[in-house]
Amino acid sequence: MSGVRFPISEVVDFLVLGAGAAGGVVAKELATAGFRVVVLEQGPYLRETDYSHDEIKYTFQPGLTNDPKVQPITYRKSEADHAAPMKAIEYGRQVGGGSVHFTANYWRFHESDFRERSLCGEVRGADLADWPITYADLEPYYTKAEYELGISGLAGANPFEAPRSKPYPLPPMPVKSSGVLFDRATKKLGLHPFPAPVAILSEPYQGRAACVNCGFCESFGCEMRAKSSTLVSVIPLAEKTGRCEIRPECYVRKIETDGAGRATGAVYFDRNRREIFQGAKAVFVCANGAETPKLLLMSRSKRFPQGLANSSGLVGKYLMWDNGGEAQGLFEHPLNEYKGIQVTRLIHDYYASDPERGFYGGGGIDARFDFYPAGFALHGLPPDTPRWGSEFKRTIQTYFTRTMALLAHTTSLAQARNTVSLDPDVKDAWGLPAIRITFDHHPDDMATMKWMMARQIEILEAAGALKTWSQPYDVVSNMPSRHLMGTCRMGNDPRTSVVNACSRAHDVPNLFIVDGSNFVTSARQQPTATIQALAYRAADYAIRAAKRGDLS
Amino acid sequence: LDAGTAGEIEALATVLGFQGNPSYGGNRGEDGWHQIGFENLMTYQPRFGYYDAQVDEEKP
Repeated sequence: MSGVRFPISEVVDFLVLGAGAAGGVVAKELATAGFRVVVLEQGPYLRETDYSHDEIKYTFQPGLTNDPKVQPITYRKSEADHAAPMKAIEYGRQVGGGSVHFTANYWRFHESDFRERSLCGEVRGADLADWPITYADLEPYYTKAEYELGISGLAGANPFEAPRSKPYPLPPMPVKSSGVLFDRATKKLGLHPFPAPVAILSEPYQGRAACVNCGFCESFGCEMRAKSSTLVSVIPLAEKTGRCEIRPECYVRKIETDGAGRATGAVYFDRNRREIFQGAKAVFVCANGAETPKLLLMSRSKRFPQGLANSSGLVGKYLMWDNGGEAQGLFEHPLNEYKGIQVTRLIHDYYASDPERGFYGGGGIDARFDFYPAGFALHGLPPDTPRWGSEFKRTIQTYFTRTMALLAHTTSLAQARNTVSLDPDVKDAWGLPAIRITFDHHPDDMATMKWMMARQIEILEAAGALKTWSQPYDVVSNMPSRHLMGTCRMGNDPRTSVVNACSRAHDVPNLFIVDGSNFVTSARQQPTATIQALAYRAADYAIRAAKRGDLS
Repeated sequence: LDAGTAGEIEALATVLGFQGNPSYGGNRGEDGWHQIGFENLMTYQPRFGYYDAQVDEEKP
């Protein structure tokens, strides 16, 4: 922590709730534009020296993610069921948020993602809608994100990618054996593999060192500062202005409003669980697709009886899931996939929805290995292998260095019945309501995952796998969901959306909501690039509005 | 750690003792990791495996 510290009594220009992928970007933009900013973050302020390669701490326990022991999550399949405690969702809970522990895949959406309702028509049982913005509206902000954060990739290598104004700032990461096998197999099948765009530095960039291929990206914090989290990229720039205070271990329970219906600040618990009010002229909520609707629903008042910014009744609705099945293959020679970043090659050939398949949906497929030793022994082996004794040990010895996986990233349709709501019974350690998840897959999303799984197996076989197997992908198997999208939908009509095309709440003029909750569709997962592009765009709009005097 | 059936807990304990970080008391001398081919180094250089090394050899 190196930024300014404002007295609690001072009303600042902007209050940002959440210091993650979106909040970090917003804070940097606002502070560098000359505004005084306080950022409240639930989690701690960690440094690279706080991290380790301890698999038990970071994958078997919530080292960098929400801990259900203090913040329970409940889950039910439908409104008719009783929700029971289950870690149905997971998010990064520290300064930097999910950008600290994510796998760092950094895909831009395609042009078609913003207008799939127009392209695909109505999908029964879902509320498929066009976005109020186009890819062209967001393109400058994707570019800005890629350059400010530090993204590695190869422009033009993906024949399906949307037009870009600039190439990636950094060349792709070195290919792994999984990438080489995937390249050969997909080319043999007439497909178009390309180097994975990732938020990991392939070369030194802006004072940070290049990745050293240690392999501990997914679920871990990067000890080398080579993963381009907001923690190591834009947050230091925000603090350097002397106008931005990052306040960690501050858990917001309510956004307050005045008689005119404008946001005045937020009440939070500090690390000693004292209640504190921080005033601001305008508020940004960037708490993620689950914590954001929870906070808005908790911010009920006489004027806003359904919760803040919720005249549409859509806060918390249209939750979309982290969809896609995983297939694995065993190969003759060692791949040593535990070395290097998780993903180096992928395809977007099946990205577009194709009516000939008989259902809506599509996805990308990447070649990866996202297991660590203990997790592999427990979850990475084929289902028919022994789980006990010396035979089990021999199996791990054969498979650990010779296995790769193909993960699909597929559509999740927006359905009004899939929600984030406040659990009426279960409370967290602060006495606040637990997040209650109500979710079930749309049949087309299940059909997409099944269809994609057949493609994944084809590719593994074309790559020469000696054996292939797959992991189940029903709702419970795909838990926790780590891509939290759709719960404060963006749109032009205040009756059918929560925020406008610039992430400003329809109901509250000085309230901005920007994170995965704005998503109208799920695209094909990998939401971080779009979350950050939306954050840059919303901040740009807010800065111009504030300078016009439109926010005060 | 999440609770499970007695069998699952036993399997979990066995695997974590075999493949967990040695700081927890198991996997003595990183023996479990050596057995499965996990080197546990902080940095690796490309030519990570057999197949990417082949590509390197194909290049002029």
